Formats: sequence, structure tokens, C-alpha cells
Amino acid sequence: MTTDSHANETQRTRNKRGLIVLIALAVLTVVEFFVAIWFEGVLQLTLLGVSAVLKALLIAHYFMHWRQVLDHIPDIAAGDADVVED
Amino acid sequence: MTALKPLGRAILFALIGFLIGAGLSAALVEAAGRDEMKEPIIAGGYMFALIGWLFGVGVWGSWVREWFGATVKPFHIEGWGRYLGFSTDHKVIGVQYGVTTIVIFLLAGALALLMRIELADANSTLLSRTDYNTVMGLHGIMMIAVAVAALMGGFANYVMPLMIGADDVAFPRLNALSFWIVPPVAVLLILTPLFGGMDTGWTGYPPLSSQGPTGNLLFLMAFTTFGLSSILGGLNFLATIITMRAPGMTWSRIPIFVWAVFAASLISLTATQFVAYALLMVIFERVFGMHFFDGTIGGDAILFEHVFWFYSHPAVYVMILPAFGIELEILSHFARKPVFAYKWVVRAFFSIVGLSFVVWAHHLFTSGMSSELHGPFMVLTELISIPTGVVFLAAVGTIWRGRLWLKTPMLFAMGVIANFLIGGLTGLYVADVVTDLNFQDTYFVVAHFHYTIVGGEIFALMGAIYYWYPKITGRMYSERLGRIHFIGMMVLYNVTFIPMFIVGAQGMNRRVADYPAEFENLNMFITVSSLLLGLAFIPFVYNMVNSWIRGRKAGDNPWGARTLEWQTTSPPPEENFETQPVVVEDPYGYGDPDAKHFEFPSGSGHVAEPAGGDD
Amino acid sequence: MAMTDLIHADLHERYGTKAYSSLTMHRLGLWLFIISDAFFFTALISSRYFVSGTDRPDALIQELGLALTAVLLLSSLSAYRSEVAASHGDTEGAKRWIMITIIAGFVFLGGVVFEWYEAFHDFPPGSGFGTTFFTLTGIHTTHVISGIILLAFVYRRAAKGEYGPGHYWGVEGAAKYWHFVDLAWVFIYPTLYLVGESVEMGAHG
Ligand code: HEM
Ligand SMILES: [Cu+2]
Repeated sequence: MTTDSHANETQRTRNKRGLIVLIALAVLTVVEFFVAIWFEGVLQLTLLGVSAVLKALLIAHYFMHWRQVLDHIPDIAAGDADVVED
Repeated sequence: MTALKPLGRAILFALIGFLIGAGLSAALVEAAGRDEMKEPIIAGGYMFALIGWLFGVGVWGSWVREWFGATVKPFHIEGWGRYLGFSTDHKVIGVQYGVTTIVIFLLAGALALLMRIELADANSTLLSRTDYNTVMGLHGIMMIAVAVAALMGGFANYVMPLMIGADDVAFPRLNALSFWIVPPVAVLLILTPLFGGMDTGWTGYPPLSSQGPTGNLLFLMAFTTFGLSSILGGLNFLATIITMRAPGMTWSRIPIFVWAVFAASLISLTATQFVAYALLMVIFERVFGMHFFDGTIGGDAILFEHVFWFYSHPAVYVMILPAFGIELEILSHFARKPVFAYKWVVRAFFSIVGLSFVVWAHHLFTSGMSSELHGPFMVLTELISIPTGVVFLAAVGTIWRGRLWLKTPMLFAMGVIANFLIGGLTGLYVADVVTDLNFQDTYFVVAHFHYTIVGGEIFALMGAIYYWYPKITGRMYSERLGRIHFIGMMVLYNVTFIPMFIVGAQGMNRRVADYPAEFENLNMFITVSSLLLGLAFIPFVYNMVNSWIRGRKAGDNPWGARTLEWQTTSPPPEENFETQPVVVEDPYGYGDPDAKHFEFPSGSGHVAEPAGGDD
Repeated sequence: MAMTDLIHADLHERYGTKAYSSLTMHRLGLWLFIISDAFFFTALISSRYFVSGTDRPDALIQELGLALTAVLLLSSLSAYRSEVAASHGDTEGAKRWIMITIIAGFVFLGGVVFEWYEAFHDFPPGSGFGTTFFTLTGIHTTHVISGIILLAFVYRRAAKGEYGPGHYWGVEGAAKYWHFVDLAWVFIYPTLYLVGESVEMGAHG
């Protein structure tokens, strides 16, 4: 887990992935903007919430690589079933 | 003299920081045309003073310099001087926390006696009502700070890395930082009476706290700063326990105290942010003129209570979980029996953590909170009794039919069982909406939480002090004075607090300097016994100081305990273990002569006296 | 150092537990900090709904809110690219993208200053919405400023050639923190600008 799981990809593929994520974030932001205009009440709140959570997941997954840490949680929870690694 | 240099520099930098901060804020206030506002100047000055203090004491020299590409100058002094600077050794920091919290504990105890003297008769005699409130608030917040920091900052810091066979915590400099944040807290609290005091008690409810004298601001800033220290400590302990366990120290082999610290750290790390925000809201009201709690413009004073108790209920488990851990640890070692139902205790700890986040509103039953919430919060609160009961039964199960070795630490640990039973059971009465509507804000609540915090945690703290004293100082305390302390404290503590249930049930309010004359007799009784209880601490203080100087050498493992902290010298060397211990089994194999918790594979390691196989 | 580490890892392997690297420790520490801070933002955002319901004043400048969001999103791409560049040993690239992130941070700050200047007239800090507006943006802005300072330190160290493939924790940590600041804004933006209906609010409403 010490090395980045993407390390053996080229810089180019990774840059491209970053761009795609950014476009997805931008699209969601624009959608939010119009959701706020077109909808109201609980429906609006729900849609905005869903969109914000999606954006947060994109950032946490692709930009912040939360898997690097999340992957440790199962072996913490697994009690004594620790495994040897790097 | 060199030993005092860091402190002197810290004070100087703090003063300079205060002047800069106060100057900048004064300029801003003037630019905004609000010359009448004084509190922004104090708040701005304090922020810069805090930074100056931290930089002066060592954050600059042993940390931030590095960011500028300069080499750091780590603090390194031998002898007593090492306690006066930015040492990164977890053992030094543990002692710093421990001694600081005990001093604050004794001071806050003196404040309590002052209140009791005032309460000996029904009228205000000794203290004015405002002064009484200030004394009460300071007693409360200082004791809360002690309860949060003594076990976590003091003992978790000192013992936990040793118990898991690590050479330090994960982030040693952060650890030093969390300790050095604490002295400014004490300074602010001591200054509070000079700025008009505070009327709110330790809970600081607005609108009183946002309108009262400037003393309130100092209290709020102190509490917020203290929260920061607690968060950083929790973060450090979690990272340490996850990543720094000795080889072979699997999750089911770690001592129960380490699990308790893990669970409590989860709460410090997360919930504390809520109290920081609750207090910040009041600070913002005072400093920036914002309005969170003013119903006329859409705010709501209940907001504070929700956010505040979202921390402060879980915080009681930051206090009691490590106490449970110490209790079970001591019971097991002195009964020479394994911790009963170890895995269930660990599960119970985590259930407590989970549930502690969803019960906060049991403090709001009488606050005008929407009444549909009463039922759910009552049930959720009472659910906590289940995991708490598991821990209680595990404690009883651990000593069940054991051959008890009744040394002072063991006496205190057994005291915890008895006292916490009363504290927990009376919790049910205040958790039940129907009874709480009568008991809220009476001495019944006061008695309840003193039974949990003093009877539970402080007794465990005393047990921990006697248990690890030989390890930390290398010397043995006087067993006779220890027993006198225990008997005095156990008897007088109960004699002081049991009558509070009675006056509370009869309707005597808490947080008052005078009260209806019908309660006078019982209150006189309480006051006398509380003064005697204060006397019971004299043998304790004498014992601690005297034994440290001329107690007999304790040896490495005077209790024949199996956990790793006893398998090195007393006190341990700076790197904790000369060779890396490895763990082969859980530490509680008492009664099995072949059981062993650890080994030193490289052979050459420090060999302590045989551990625990003597039963 | 390296030698004892090796022995240690070997012991862990023999006794069936995991040896963690110092990189893992740092990552874990940062994540714990982020989780903690996320609790603070949760309290912050929920208090907005408690204090001022879901309505927002029509004096809010919608274009500005959208522009601030765009700047922050763009800067998270540049932070991402600086980390990628550093991990491939491309120091020049890392430096360039860190610098771009810093500049974006300053643009964001400029936007906030303008926004505050307007807001002081329309809904001052003492009003209902103003209270939460200034608290939320104010605390978020302190995070932006600390992120900029962090990036500036990292830039300096990158310029001195201290990072390379396999040892670029400084860049990675600063980028993660920056992404978190962005992530917080992902929730703050709809909370302040989009939720509910735009209503007329006086300076004291
Ligand atoms: C069996 C578990 C417990 C239950 C059911 C329980 C329940 C309660 C309830 C409902 C209240 C509010 C009473 C009122 O204000 O009317 C309360 C107050 C309090 N409890 Fe507990 N509690 C329990 C354990 C603990 C523990 C373990 C501690 C600390 C170590 C603790 C410390 C406190 C404190 C400090 C207060 C008073 C706060 C204040 O108003 O200043 N409790 N408890
Ligand atoms: Cu509670």
C-alpha cells in the first residue's frame, strides 16, 4: 500500500483521467444550478444533496485516493487475521 | 538556568504576540468605526499570543524552521529541565500532562470546598451570588478538563506506546504541541475572575454567555483551545495504535486499556469539533456581533444546546472509557485472572462509542426541545446501559473467585466497580423523561455525574497513579499511606455525595448559592464531610512527593504483571525497549504457567524479572 | 535507519503482523485530520439550516457564486496534476501546477473579498442570513489561506529538488488538503447559494 496504485500508468493517462473527472464535476455543478431554479421544496433539497454527494465521492475517490486508507479498514476490523504486507 | 530558557522565550513571544494581535484588532475595530468594542481586541490579542507562546516554547525551533529549509534544533535536556520544554518523548509528555492535571485537580477541588463552605447555611454569606457562580463555573470547567486530559493525556500518553511495544507515538512533535496548548488554557481560566467572572457554569449556555461580562469570553476561548489539544491527542493515539504495534501484537492481543484509548480517541477526534463550533458561535456573537441565538431574527438558543451536547455527552465517554480500561487492567493483574469476556468488552466499547453520538438530547428534556424527540432519546440513552452493563459484568467476572491481591491500585479499581454502579443506575432516573422532568437542575443530577466522574473516573485515575507510579518514577510509594488515602476517600466520598441524591430528590436546585432553609441540615452535613474528604488528599500528595524523592527502588516489575510496559527498566530508557519485543500471545494468560505474552527474539534484550508466572 | 527498518519488517513478517511505512502513517494522520475537520464543517453547515431555514436573500450574486465554484474546481485539477507530475519525477511540471493552484487560490480569495464587500451592505454579519453566510465563508476562507501557505512551502521545497518518484509526500499531502478544501465547498456552495428560494431580505432579515 505504500506505492500509488496508479504508479505504473503513464502520466498522460492519469492526466486524462483528471480532466474527465473535472468535466463530470463541472456538469454536475451546472445541473445543480438549474435544479435550484427549476425545482423547489424537498425535491430540490434532495436533488442538490445527491449531486453534492456525487461530487464529493468523485473528489474523494479520484483526487484524494481514499482507497489508500479505506483498504486498511477491513484488516483492522478483521481482528487477528492480520496479513503481512510490504 | 538553561532549563528555564524555553519557558522564558515562550512568555516573551506570547507578550509580543498579544501586542501585535491586539494592535491589529484595534486598528480593524477603529476602521469599522466601532470604538466601543473591546472584546475583538482581547480575542485578537489572545490568538496571536497563543501562536507566540507555541512558537517560543519550541514549535519554531524544533518544527517550523524545517519548512523554511533550515535545520531544526530538537529540544534535549537531561534531568528535571526536560519537563519544562518542548520534549517529544511521550514519557516526558505523559508526566507533564499528569502533573499539570493533578495540580489543576487540587485547585479545582479547593474551589469546590469554597462552594461547600458557602452552602453550609441557606443564605449567601461568604460569596456574593456572582462570585459563587464564577467559582462554580471554574470548578466545573477545570474538573472537566482534568477528567478529559488526565487519563488520555497523562496515562494513555505514558503507558499506551509502552504497552504496544512502540518507541514513541506516531507524531511526537504533534504530541508535544497538544500538551503545550494546555498552559494558556489555565492562564485564561485563572484570569476569568478579573474580567467580571462568568455566570453560566461550565456549559456556557447563551444568551447568558453571549451577554455576560468579558470573563465569559476568556472562558469560551479557553474551552475552545482545550478542545484543539484534545483533538490532536486523539488523532495521534489512533495513528499510533493502528501503525506502531510491536510485531505479533495482533488486534486480539492488545491490552484492554489500549482498546479503551482507541475507542475514546475516536470520540475526541470527531465530536470535539462540535464543541469547538458551539463555543465559536458564542465567541462570534461577542466579537463580530453575529446572531445565532436571537429568536427575533431567526436564530434559536436551542441550537447551542444541540451542538454543545453533541460533543459533551460523548465527552463523558472520553472520560470513562479509559477509566474502564484501567479498571479492567488492574483487576486482571491483581486477581491473577484474564480479563473476563475480553472480546465482548471490546465490542461494548465500540457500541458505547456509536451510541454516545445519538443520545445528546437527553440533556434537553426541559429546554423546550420538540417533545416528539423525548421518547427516542430516552430509549437510545437507556440502550447505552447494555454495553455499559457488559463492561460492569466483565469487571465482576474478572475478580470472580480470584485470589485478590489487595494493594492500593486494586482497592481503587474495586472502588470504581462499586461507585460506578451507583452512578450508572442513577443515570437511568435522569434518562427517563418522567423522572428527569423533576430531577433536572437539582442536586440529584449533581450526585449522578459525580458518581460517574469522581466515583468512576477519578477513582480509576488514582488507581492508575498507584499502579504505574513505580514504573514512572522507579520508586515505590508507601503502601500504608496509599491505603489510608483509599479508605478515607472511599468512605468520605460516599458520605458526601449520597445525601446529595436526597436533597436533590427533595427539590434543591443546583447552581445556587442560597436555598430554602429546610435543606440546611443535610447541607451542613455534606459540607463537613466534603471538608474531611479534602483532608483525605493530604496523605496522597505527601506520599507522591515524598516517595518520588526517597521511596525505595521499585524494580522493573513489582506487580509481576505481563503487559509490555513492565518488561523494561523503571523508568524506561528514552527508546523504551533496548531490543524490540515481539508478542506471541495475549497478555492475560494468568494461571497458565506456560503462557507468555512476549519474547525478545534477538536474545540480548533487557531481561526483566519473570512476569506473572508466579500463580 | 534503513537497516533497523528492515529487521523490524522482517520481525513483523515472522510474527504475522503488518509493518507500516512512514508514508502510510502520514497518510493516515492526514485522513484522520480530514475526518475531524469534516465534523466541524458538518456542524457549520447544519447550523445554517437551523438559524436561517432554507431561504436565501435575492441580493446574493449568483454569477459570483458560480464563478468561485468554477475556480475552485479548476484548482483541484491543477492540484491533481501537480501530484501526478511529482509522482513521475517531473519536478518542473509539479512546480508549474502548484503555482497555478496557488494563483487560483488567490483568485478565489479575491472573489470572496468582493463578495464580502457587497454582502456587508445587503446582509451584514448581524442579520440572520448574514450570520451564517459570514461564518461559513469565513471559516472556509481560513482553510483556503492555510492551503495556499501549505502549497507555497511545498513549492519552495520542490524548487530545491527535494521531491522525486517515491518520495513526494509533501506534494501529495498539500494536494489532498487542497482537495478537501474543495470538497467542503462542494457542500457549502449549494447550502448558501442554491437551496430554497430567493426571497427579499432586509439588512436585518
Ligand atoms: C449509564 C449511563 C448514563 C446515563 C443513562 C446517563 C444519563 C444522564 C442524563 C439523562 C443526564 C442529564 C440529566 C439532567 O440534566 O437532567 C446526565 C447528566 C450528566 N451525566 Fe450522565 N449518564 C450516564 C453515564 C454518565 C457517565 C459515564 C458520565 C461521566 C463519566 C456522566 C456524566 C454526566 C454529566 C457530567 C452530567 C451533567 C451535565 C451538566 O448538566 O452539567 N454520565 N446523565
Ligand atoms: Cu449525557
